[in-house]
Amino acid sequence: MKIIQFLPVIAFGDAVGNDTAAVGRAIADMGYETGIYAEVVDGRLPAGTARDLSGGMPEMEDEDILIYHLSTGSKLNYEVTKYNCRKIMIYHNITPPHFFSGYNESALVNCTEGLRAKKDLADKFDYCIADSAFNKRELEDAGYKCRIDVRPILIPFEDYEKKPDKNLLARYKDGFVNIVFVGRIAPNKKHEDIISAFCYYKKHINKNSRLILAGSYTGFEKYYERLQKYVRALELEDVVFTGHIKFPGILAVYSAADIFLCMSEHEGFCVPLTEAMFFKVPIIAYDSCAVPDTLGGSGVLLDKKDPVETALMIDKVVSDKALHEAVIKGQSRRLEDFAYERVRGILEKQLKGFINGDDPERTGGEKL
Amino acid sequence: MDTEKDIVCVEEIMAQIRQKIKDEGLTADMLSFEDIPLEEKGIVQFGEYCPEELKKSSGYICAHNQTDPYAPIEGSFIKRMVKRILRKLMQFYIIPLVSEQNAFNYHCSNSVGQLTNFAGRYEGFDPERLTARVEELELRNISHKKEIEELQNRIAQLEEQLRQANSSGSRKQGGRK
Repeated sequence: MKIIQFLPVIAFGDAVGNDTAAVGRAIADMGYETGIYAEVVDGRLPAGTARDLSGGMPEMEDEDILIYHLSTGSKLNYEVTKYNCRKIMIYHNITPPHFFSGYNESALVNCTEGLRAKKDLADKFDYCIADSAFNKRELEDAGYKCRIDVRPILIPFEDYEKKPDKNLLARYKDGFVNIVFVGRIAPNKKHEDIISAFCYYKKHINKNSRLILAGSYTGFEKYYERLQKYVRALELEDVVFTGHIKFPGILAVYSAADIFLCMSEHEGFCVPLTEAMFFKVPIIAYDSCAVPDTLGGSGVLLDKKDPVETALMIDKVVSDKALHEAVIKGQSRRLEDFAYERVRGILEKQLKGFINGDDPERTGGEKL
Repeated sequence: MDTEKDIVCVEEIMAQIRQKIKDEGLTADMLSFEDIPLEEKGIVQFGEYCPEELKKSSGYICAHNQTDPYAPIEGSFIKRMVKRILRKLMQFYIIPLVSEQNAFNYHCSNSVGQLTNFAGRYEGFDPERLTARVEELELRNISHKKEIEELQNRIAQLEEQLRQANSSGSRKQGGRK
């Protein structure tokens, strides 16, 4: 029996790419014949990680399993239905298209198609794995009747133990309070709300502060330019847009961070939250989408978007040592839930359960 | 979280923060992101009519037709003071200009809005389908005309037959006399 993974794009360093590669390793270690097939394979991935679909897919027998990663609109979303083997979907979420209106029409079309495919595929899978409870609810709302389990994204935390970019770290470690957000510059992440909160904090609470927005803006240049104009209109200093930076640069940003501020309005999991937990950076985040699932009661959740309230909360967490400690402790405890081996164990249990046809009620699911 | 000491009571902290905001009258009073226009650098497309483009652009025009001369002033205390003085000195010139521009903008955007509504009436309008329908109706009209002509001829024939029947009937009655 073989277990084949199938997805439109496998990119280097992104959450879906990392998860797919990690799932592949876990399946291989379970002793099954496996492989990853993608329409587009990022050239920066280690050789042999995935195969280009142009070479064709292997013959799939009835007892074989096809794992499809759904995260975007693609013609491959419907290709998966052509195979008569058993099918599993790993759902990473699709951003609602309205966020991209006016900024990136192709992303808008892509996500619209992705959401349509999500509905159309409701009865085409035998089993689904969702990155978060939020993603699970989305599948249920789309009419999925098969068994759906939650399993967080597999994150190789040992990578974060590498050395950060020294120059960047020295530049940011200058006594300023660094408020950071890591993630691509995209309208659903609501960078403007981070900027407005920072504006109040910088002008009224602590002028020795800096905002670092780390992430690529490719594809969202219009949004990036608008954000820059907003910063200029506010006459706000010390706002750094890093653009795409290499991994040691990201490590430097986390190492220098005092607060991780997330105002995003759409996330399927939000890996940067777990990264902030790893670097012991207190998280202040807006309560929306999968953010509360990932925080699991840790960090500071804001029920309202108000620049003054957010700025005062930043000040409270930065200046109140006991609160700072408590937030970090809570986050560190939550981080244990995302430990690579633990999540891998969950995945193995879920796959074995599916293969053997176990009743999830009897075997007992993991609490996430 | 295991120990009571580690529990972060966000609601309690937030209540304190909200009380502070209320007591000290703190407000953000800053430009909002919506005040920053989304710059479209695309080339204006002439040629084919695209209802989506019309809706998008007219929606933007209608939503942003008024300009506020009192935008929040940003910067340090001295910068803000200087800007306020400059604004006061210039307002005799700026305010009437902005009012005039706003009135013009209103009528422009209203016209664009009305035209968009008018265009909306004809959404789904297909000239080819309409031409085919006209042709079909014209053919049906011709066939109806022919039918009417035939019916009129038939009526004329029947009237002639009736007239002949009446005249032969009266002749027979006259003979009996």
